[in-house]
Amino acid sequence: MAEYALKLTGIEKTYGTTIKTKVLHGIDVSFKRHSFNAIIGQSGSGKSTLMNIMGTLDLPTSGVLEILGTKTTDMNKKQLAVLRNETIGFIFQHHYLLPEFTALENILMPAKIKHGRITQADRAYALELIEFVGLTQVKDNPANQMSGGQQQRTAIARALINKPEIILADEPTGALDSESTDKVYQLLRDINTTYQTTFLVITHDRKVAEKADRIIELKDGRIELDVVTKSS
Amino acid sequence: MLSLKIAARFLFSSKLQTLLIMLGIGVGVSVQVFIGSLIGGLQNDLIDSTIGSQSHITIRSQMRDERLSVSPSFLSEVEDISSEIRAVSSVLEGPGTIDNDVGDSIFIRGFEFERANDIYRFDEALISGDIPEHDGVLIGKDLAEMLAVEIGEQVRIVLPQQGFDTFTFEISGIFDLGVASVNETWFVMRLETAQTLFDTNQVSAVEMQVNDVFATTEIAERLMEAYPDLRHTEWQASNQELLSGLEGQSISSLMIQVFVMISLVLGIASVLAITVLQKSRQLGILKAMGITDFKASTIFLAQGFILGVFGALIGVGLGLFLNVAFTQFAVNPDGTPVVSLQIDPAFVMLSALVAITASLLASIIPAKRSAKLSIIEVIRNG
Repeated sequence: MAEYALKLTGIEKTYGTTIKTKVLHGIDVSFKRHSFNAIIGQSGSGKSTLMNIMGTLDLPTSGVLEILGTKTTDMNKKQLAVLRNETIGFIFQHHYLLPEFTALENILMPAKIKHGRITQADRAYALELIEFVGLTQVKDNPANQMSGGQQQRTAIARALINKPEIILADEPTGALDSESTDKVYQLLRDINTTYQTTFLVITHDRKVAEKADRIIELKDGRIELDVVTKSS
Repeated sequence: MLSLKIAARFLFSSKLQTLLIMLGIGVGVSVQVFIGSLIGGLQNDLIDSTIGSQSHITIRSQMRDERLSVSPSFLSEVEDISSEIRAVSSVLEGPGTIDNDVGDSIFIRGFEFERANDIYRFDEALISGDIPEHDGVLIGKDLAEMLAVEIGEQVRIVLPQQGFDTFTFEISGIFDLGVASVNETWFVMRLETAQTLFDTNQVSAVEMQVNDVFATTEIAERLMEAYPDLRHTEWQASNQELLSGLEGQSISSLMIQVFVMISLVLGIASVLAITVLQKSRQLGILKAMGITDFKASTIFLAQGFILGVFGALIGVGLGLFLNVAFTQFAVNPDGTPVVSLQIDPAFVMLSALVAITASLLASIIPAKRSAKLSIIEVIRNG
């Protein structure tokens, strides 16, 4: 098994065709498996772009991305979709649940995409995750009839359902109050310890970032700072 | 299955919109079913009233005015040539004139009534009197009016072919076959009477009716194989106007149906195109979770399918209701429907299938759009 969950070599990203805006300037960075990493930076520093590229939601203009030792450069859209489904869990700032489905159905959706149906094991695991994130009471509520914190915890459980190796979280607490923020971060750390999942969390909150094993600061599309706070 | 489930959920989450599209499809299908059944019924009525009491295929001798010798078994032999042949009857005919000042022309026709009734339905067409049992005659109501005669009165006729001899017949019945020329000229009697009159034991022609009036050519070919010495005429030869009328009706009905379908497709396509926009956020999420572009596009095909199936069901129900309502309310003074509707299950099924196919076709464009939808755009603008 590869040592690194993610390895980026010379990643560049330019937007626009006539007026070109270079957002990322040759990013070289690797993230060890099972580590908990924070990416910080001001808005416009390129951190969301980097995150989208790491999650194969966006393609780099140049450079190589390896996920668990596999180069994504030569993969087609379908292979990328399967890769995302099986190895990456996303947590977005605005929780992004499907409002037409209940909390439990939302959590099971990646499993359903993976297997085409819900297995007994999937269901059992989903219930375990719901318990873990404390949503047992509201699991059958429609997604849009829950509080912001509940929706974000649903999104976290959904990110975990296929037991992904990597979780990418873009400002996961950006829309939450400070109490919920602490709860969610504690939850992410617990998941990191319990399920050995690699975390990459984008945040603008330094207090949050300081709880990570490693902090990377981006400025103007370059890595400004790379600090390991805890050896893992 | 996943696509179908997501599609169903999407549709269910905007109930009013879904209901409106289904109703839209339903109205289209009901128009289809209604117009189709109406035109079908109209054509059947028209065919029935025009050639329902006519010979569909007539066989005669190759030579003009030469008569045929018909053995008693010949008619059943002809009947056995095709199961499509419904009725066979022989006729002996000839010209004559009424012995009056004007000298009205008549067309003498001698039938075996047991057989001829299967073609001409004299028994139903009689306004008064009875089928002649001996030497009486049946005349049309127009001829009866012209001559001012009634049942039981005598009519004298002259036969130019028989040396202008005169003969007298008693009128035993007056018929209305619905065709003026027939009602004015036919002078109908038993075959034996006619044979005595013309001093022959032969007949002029053998007439027949078939089940499917548009299949006469094939049957005629088989007849000609069996009887190469005889010549045949089909009903189409003397009914060109009817044929072109029917064709015109079929084409206009088809045109209406095609345009209804086109408007249906456009309607569904535009509504589904909007739902792609409405659901672009959800599609972005599903794609981030790893749904493939193809699967994502099948969600919209599934939506089209669901809308098509339910729309077709509504449409068939509504169409049949319209048909029934039409036969109930659009009636002649005597209570019979103006047009007897013909509900053809195969046609109704076809209309439903066409609607489902149209809905599927209409969902192709939105499906393609959904496949192209980029996740990053949704996430960035979300």
